[in-house]
Amino acid sequence: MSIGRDVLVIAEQHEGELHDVSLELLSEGCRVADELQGELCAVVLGNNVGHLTQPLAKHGADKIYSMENPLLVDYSGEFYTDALSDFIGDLTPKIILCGATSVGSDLASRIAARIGIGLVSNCISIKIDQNDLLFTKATHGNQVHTTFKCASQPQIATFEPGALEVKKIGIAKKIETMNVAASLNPDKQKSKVTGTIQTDLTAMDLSEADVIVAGGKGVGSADNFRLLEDLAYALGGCVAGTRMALDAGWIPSDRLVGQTGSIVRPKLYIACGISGALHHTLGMKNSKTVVAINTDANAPIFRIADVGIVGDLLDVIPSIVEQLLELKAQV
Amino acid sequence: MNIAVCIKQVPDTEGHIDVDRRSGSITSPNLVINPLDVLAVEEAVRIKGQLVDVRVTVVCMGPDIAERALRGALSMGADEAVHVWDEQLVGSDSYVAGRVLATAIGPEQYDLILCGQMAADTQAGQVGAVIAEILEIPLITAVVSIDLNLQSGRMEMQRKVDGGKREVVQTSLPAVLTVESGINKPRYPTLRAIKDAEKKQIEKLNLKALDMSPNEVGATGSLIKVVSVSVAKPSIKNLFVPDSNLLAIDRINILMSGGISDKKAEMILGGLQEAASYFVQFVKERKLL
Repeated sequence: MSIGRDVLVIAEQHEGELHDVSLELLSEGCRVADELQGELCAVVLGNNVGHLTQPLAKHGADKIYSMENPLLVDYSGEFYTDALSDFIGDLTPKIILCGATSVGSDLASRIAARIGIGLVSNCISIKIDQNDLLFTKATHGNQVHTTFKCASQPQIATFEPGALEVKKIGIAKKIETMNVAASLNPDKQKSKVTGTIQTDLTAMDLSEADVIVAGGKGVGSADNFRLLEDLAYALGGCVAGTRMALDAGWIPSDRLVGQTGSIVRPKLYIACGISGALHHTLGMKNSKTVVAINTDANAPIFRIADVGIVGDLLDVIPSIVEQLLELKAQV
Repeated sequence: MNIAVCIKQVPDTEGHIDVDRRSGSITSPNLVINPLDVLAVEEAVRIKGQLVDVRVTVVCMGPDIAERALRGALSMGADEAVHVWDEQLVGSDSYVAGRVLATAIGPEQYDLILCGQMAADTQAGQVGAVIAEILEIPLITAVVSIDLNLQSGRMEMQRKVDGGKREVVQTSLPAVLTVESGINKPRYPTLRAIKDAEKKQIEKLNLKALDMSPNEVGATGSLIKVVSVSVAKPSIKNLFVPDSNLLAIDRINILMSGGISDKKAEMILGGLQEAASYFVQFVKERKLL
């Protein structure tokens, strides 16, 4: 181990599955570790998470630590902070990377406060200037880019999911995996999660939605919009629309996606009967995956879509919904 | 119940922000209470309206002009205000701000400490965690609703988590809660309330009163230091030339937002069943279900 040069990625898992942001962080961590001539370490917390070392190794980690404890099975701010703070104190990395997810943001702020180290949240980039790390992030309502230097060692930075690219690692490295015991005291727990609830999809803020089914002029009528609702329901997403759909009274004003409505970037955006006018595309172009359904094969929307279905949405959507429901019935 | 609300005065980020790259100064014609802190004040006042014997104290660290922010919070219905300032505090980061506020709040004075989830200027989201850590009390972040039926001194609330979900959390008191947008709609103070707020006494605290040394605050005590600032530029994904048929304003909008990158859509022209199966397979493979 090279003291004070290593990069530590805090991997995030939910129910035994790695969050994509962890792989993105490893790719960035790999670059930073190379420049610092240190090692890339990853730590994953949970219960029975041994199978996750494989994907972490594939994305460039030199050393993988797993902390297993029944108390760590789901995220708990208090337990995770207790477990990680001791571990980080022993490991003394140069920098800790964490996802700016709801879990990661909560955790990073707690760890930084506990150990008393500098935190730069929602980073855009990390640069290395001699032996200093320079962190750039958006501030002041995203109008300003501010670059920070941390006075502490280690230092911690969070990155939003999707802000970094996942790079494939060609050669499989020889990795070390280690189990670290977490000493936790359940009697000390002051706050605890008692449950999780899904918010009403028709009332949920569009910026929070993972899946959005949007309709435009091509939907044709308020009745046809019901089909979009069915599809959204089957996918667990929200219904939205274009300015045309709003003007026609098919959607309420808080469901408008576009320059004058909500700017969204869900994991999946399904554009139904939307030609792809600029007003609309500027509001959804950063969606991770775009699927477009349109009768006109030359519609501009297809230029920014990952999958294009040329067909009448009145036929296509019911067919998709049917198959989705079949799939659900099987599970 | 005693509630402390931490507020910060910030440049109005809804409006224009001036950035001077050379001096590193960031200025705006308007100073406002951090919007999420306004929600924290509103929530405290709402609790005061529903439970008996609640006192709401607002605490702000900032230069003399930050008194405006405290008067604003008083006009919304807070009972007392504490203004923490000292010339030595110039250049403090979120960590120092959290420590100063925690010292001003003190242990065992308050049952509930409310803050905004993050400040609109630094966008850090660190202060609440530092306060909780120093006072050694629980922290619940991103709170969007609070249940006021206290059961044996424990409070239940919902916090915003990814994917539009809400986590139900139970905590012992005292606790630090950071509030997220959507928790409430803040009131507009009445003219009468604004006038009354002008007359209220504001308690002033400096470093000496807090028993803190100049070494642990300001730039010396801070853990992160600003190296440079610049006007935010979108990260352009690929060189993009907007269609010259478009209106000038549209072309500007495209460029300002970083361009639109063309994707090569996989086009499905086949039959209905085929298209539907392809779609279902696609969302399954990408783990979007």
